[in-house]
Formats: sequence, structure tokens, C-alpha cells
Amino acid sequence: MNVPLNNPKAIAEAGERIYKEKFQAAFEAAHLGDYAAINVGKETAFVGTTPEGAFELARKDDPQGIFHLVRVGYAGAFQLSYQYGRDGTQDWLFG
Amino acid sequence: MAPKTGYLDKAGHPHIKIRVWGLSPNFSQEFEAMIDTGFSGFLMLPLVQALPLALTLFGTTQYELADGSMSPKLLAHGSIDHEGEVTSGLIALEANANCGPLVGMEFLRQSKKLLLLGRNVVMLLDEPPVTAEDVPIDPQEPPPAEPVDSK
Repeated sequence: MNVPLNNPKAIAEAGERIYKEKFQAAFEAAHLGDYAAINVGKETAFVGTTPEGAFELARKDDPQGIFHLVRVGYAGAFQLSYQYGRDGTQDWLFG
Repeated sequence: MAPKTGYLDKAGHPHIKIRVWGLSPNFSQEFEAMIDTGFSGFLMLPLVQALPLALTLFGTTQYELADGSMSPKLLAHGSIDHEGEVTSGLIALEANANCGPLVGMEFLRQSKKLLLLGRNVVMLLDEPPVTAEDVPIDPQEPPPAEPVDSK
């Protein structure tokens, strides 16, 4: 698949889509509350009990990979009470 | 360890002084970070302030905001020094340059600290070990069952 790798928002959207289509059902049955690092290029996923653990496994498999982190069973990997970043302006980073 | 100290800003939000870096402490810079107990992560920094720190970029993630909306963020790895104690974790990079640095619950967990807030004081104290004897027992609850010999 073609993911624009110079656009963090597009990487995040691709990671979420891959997770929902290929991994969500199985992971929620077996790994609720754990973290999954999704390789958006290879469409593979690695689960760890910590975010760092999931990334470590994913990077071992593909050191050049582009990864998106999800928390199994949660809408976001982290929660934030402040309203920073609502404008979704991350496109400007490299675009 | 001696208690770590912070301060309350004019709005009453607790802040601490931290140093942050990525690949090497040679790249470290000092920040005044707000302690946000509604933030489940380790540290969030504005991207423009994070660029000089040589953080290791890991990928992306989605943050769930208080109103239920989602916010994509870049994720990097780095370290925090707070008054001589160093912890490492994932740092979210925020595009909005107007936001200030935030430390969250994962920072407190990794530091093994209790957050103590008073009218004019912010303290981070060493987390005491909790033993079974420390857990309060509900007097209404029946006593635990005796083991049954199956023979």
C-alpha cells in the first residue's frame, strides 16, 4: 500500500486502518490493555505489555520500519486532559 | 532520597523543572513542565522545543483528548532528569508551539513517586512499598475461607 511517509497524520491513519482490519479482533481477545506497534509498510504488528516493549520487538523485525502505536481496547494509546493539538495541524511538519 | 520539589503557577497548576535529552545528555535542555494527572503518558513537548534534543523518533500514535476526539502525534524516545533522578520513556511531540511541556502519570510511575499538593507546595516523595498488612480490611466482609483438604 502507498502511505505518504512524510506525513505523520497519514501514517497514524494508515496504522489505525491496518490495526482495525487485520489485528483488532484477535488482539482484543488476547491482549486487552497491551500495546501494539503496527508496521505501516509491511502491515505487521508486535504486541508488548509496555509501549517501549512493543516498539522494541517491531524495530528488531524491521529496523527501517515506520510504526504506529495503539493500545489494545482503547481509542487512543494515551489520554490527555488538556485540549492541545485539537487543530490537527501536523501535516505542516514535512508537507 | 530527598523529596523533589516543584511549584504552583499563578493558575494553581503544579510544575517541576526537568532536563530532557535524546541520544546524549550533551543535548539536554531545561524545561518547566506542568504535572498533568489527566495525561496518561510520560512527557509531551512542543515539536519546536524538542528538535534540539536529539530524540530518537519511533513513530506515531493517537492521543484521546478529554472531549473524546483523537489527536495524532509523533512519538520519540528520550530521558528526563528531575533533580538528579533519570527516567526514560516515550515523548509525544506536539505541533502546537503554544502548548507547554507536560509530564504525566507514566512519569510518576517510572519515577516511583507520590505527588503531594498543598496550597503553596508541590512535592514528589518516594513511593513507600505497600504490603498486604497495609491494605485496609472491610469489617463487613466475611473472613477468607479456610483451605479445604480434598482427600
